[in-house]
Amino acid sequence: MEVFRRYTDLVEPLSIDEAFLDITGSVALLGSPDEIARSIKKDIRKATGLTASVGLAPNKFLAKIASDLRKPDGLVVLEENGVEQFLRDLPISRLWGVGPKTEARLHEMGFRTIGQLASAPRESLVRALGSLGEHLYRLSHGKDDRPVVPDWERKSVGTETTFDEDTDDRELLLRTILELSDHVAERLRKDEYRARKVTLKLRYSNFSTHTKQHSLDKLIQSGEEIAAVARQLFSQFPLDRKIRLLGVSAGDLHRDGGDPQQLTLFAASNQKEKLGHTIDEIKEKFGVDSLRRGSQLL
Amino acid sequence: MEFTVRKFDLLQELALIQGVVERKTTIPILANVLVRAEGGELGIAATDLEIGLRSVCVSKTTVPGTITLPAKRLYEIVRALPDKEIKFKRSEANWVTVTCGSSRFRIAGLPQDDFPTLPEAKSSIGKIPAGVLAKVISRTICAISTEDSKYTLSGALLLLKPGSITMVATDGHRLAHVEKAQTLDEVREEIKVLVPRKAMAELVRIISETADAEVIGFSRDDNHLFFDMGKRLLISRMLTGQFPNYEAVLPRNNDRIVTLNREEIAAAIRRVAILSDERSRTIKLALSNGALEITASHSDLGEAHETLEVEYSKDDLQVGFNFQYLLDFLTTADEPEVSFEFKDSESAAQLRAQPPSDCNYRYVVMPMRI
Repeated sequence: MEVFRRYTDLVEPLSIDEAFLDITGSVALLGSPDEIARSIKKDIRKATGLTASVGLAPNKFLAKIASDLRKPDGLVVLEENGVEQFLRDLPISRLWGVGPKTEARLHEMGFRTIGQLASAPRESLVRALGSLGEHLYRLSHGKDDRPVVPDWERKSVGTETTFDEDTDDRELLLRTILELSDHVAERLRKDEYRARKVTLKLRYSNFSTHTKQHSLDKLIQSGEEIAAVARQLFSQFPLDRKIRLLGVSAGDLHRDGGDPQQLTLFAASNQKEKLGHTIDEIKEKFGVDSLRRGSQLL
Repeated sequence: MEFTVRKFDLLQELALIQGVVERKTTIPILANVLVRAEGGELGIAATDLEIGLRSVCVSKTTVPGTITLPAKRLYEIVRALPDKEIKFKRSEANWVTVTCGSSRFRIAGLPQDDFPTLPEAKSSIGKIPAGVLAKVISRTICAISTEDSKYTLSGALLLLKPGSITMVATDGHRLAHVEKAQTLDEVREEIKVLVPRKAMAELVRIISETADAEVIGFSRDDNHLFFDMGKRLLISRMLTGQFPNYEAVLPRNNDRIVTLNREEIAAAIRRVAILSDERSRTIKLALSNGALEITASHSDLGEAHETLEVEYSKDDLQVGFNFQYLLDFLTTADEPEVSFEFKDSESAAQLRAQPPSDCNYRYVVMPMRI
């Protein structure tokens, strides 16, 4: 996401590793859209060592389809006048809003490709599908005027890990919870959020997956505080089977300093916060592996 | 088992015991009261495993025996019966017939064997006047977090000394502290225990709803606290855990002080709070020469202002608070005046009931950073 922001402020994250960028305003400064797209790919490789797939198009809908077309290392450029041809043979399931149910319905109506849908009269689609019909009609013609919304607020910050081998070693599990909580806390601090809710996710060896969550009456940001709640949630699960995966996430996020912040009487939690920021600074300066909890060495 | 009891006598005990009985329990027997008929006394007991209440009322036993009956239904039945003698008779299995005047009920009980054994009270190690205990509890209970007790300390510290009783409660944001000079009979050394919130609430309720016991005998074993109120005994699990070092956070040199009429400031805060942010509940107090201004602002709704004249001539100061924390104190105190004592906008403020009585009440509250 940081790489993206070098090119424009209009970044709308879609998932952890996907985002819409509106580069309309960046062209004058940074070169043609093509050049910007290539440059972003290069920057991502440099920053993360990973490849990226870019779709360059007049709107969000088309950009998403274009970027999905040549994964994992593609660059698909879609010009305004090539849109109809581009969409024509794609299956209707590519349209946003078409899930398995709508897909089956559209198949019944004789539509299999976006091109077939585009040639249907708008009225008949609206009659059959209501407002969804209108939406699909527009998309099938490559029309999507939703803007890139940059100030999309995060809903939660979470991380999870799958064990190399399924385990029921309580010590290891608790240590992992602390580790995951530290990660979550680090990201909260980095993005300047505080959380009111902690969720623990657990997958047993038979793949049955469970979550439990707890809402607090205060906002938290430190790994210890998150871990304390997560551990408590963990203790409510029976440990009668081995565990395959653990996840910790923090939700009900509030902007740091956005809301007035209730100060606390007992210094412990204030000190933990300071410690958190100090740890971040050390890691920033000396690398992510420069500092670890003693328990992580076990 | 067969006994008769006067409606009024039984109803009072059943009413008190309702607060103890677990409503949403997964253990069916905990929704029941244990009823034991023997001689001229009917013993009644209930527990939710955290606290338990045992009481007695006058009855005439024809055939002694023990059974457990559904607490809520039994209470509803007895309350609805005419003001006459009620006769209980156990028939086959665990069925109990209740007759009173022309009414007759047949209730399914559960055998007593499944009912948890309540611990026996130890001999008293301190006598506390009932009114004093009720007062220190009601002045501190508001500062206990109502959040799930698994995550926080859900009780208050009770400190008994030969010459004083102290109770302290905190949720980490505010702290209520009451200290009363009081000669406590039988207290030989300092006694320090953590009393769960539910036990505190039930003690206040029992003390205020009955005038039977003037002095409460306090005792403890390794895991339980006992409050002996004569014909009633409240048993509470003792909270374990470390009570925070509260003495360290009691403000010592908060020298920016204003004294206010308690009801006036409470009313002003209530008015202004209408336009505070629902989530953070923040209001601002601004002290300047001769005036205390209270304000709130809501991003969608607007602002509220209120100015009170005060005697104040030190530096200007602006502090934010969760208004509910202030109101909790202002509605609990019953003294005519209160003092607000500040240091700066990020340090704990101290609120005190004025004039100071022998029941010294102070309330420490952390500001909001605004």
